[in-house]
Amino acid sequence: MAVMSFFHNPHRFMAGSKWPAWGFTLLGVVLIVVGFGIGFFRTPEDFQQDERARMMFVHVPAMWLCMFSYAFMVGASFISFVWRHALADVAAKSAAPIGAVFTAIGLMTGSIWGYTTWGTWWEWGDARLVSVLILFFIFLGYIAVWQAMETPQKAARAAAILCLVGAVNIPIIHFSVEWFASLHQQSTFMTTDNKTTAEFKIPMYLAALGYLALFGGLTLLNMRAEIMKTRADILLQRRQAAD
Amino acid sequence: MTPIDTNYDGYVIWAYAMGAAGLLGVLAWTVNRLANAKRKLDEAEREDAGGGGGP
Repeated sequence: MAVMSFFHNPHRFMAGSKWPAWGFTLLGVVLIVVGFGIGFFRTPEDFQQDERARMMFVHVPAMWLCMFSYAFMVGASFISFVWRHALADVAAKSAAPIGAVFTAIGLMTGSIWGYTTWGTWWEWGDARLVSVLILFFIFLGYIAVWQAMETPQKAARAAAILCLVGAVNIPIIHFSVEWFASLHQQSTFMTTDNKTTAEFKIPMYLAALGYLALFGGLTLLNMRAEIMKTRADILLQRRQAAD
Repeated sequence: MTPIDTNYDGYVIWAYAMGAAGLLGVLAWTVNRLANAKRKLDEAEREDAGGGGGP
């Protein structure tokens, strides 16, 4: 609560966010390069999936982060909806394009992996694939709502409602492989029975931390851009009103 | 169904290329958006300071 009220003032946010934003972005890039590098060049072939297992270091963190991005937006939208916090809307709006890109990466790399493993690029009957595609459309819809409404206040309200309603899709994505018959394998990393060896775990966690840091950094940078744009618009409107 | 080429190198490279392109794309888009917002704010502040803001 104290942090929330501290950042209620955009000036304070702007003063405190510059170096964390660039720091997280740089950290994210470095971790992703190292994680991808180890995954692509150093990790041995898997005994079942051979070379194809290397795709997991791109695909799996993208899927984790697309759900994390959306959960972050849900949290921010809830704060915006209940407490009308000035920066919560900006945070949710700023995270949406990044979440959409993670989802797109997850869908495309998953499609390639699926083709080499299942023999099909896409399966409409598969709940995991379809629920992730729906998440991608929710991200696009959320971005479109911000563009479509005539005032930022109305847009923020409508986007927050859409985001909160869309939250029902997150548990469906997560549990789809358990609730429904699916081509997609069940969770490997996020289980208590994780038998993955360090050769796979290290690049996976490096890449995942990199995606997470990049998400944090880019969201902060986008929030800064949004605040600067809003301030510039206010100054221009004030100038026009005075002329 | 067409048999799948079991030399998977090309598919793996494609997956990494798509991942890298997506991440670099969103990074470049964010930096560009930030630069545009900064330019717009600088112009607005310059006009606001220089113009006097009223009759």
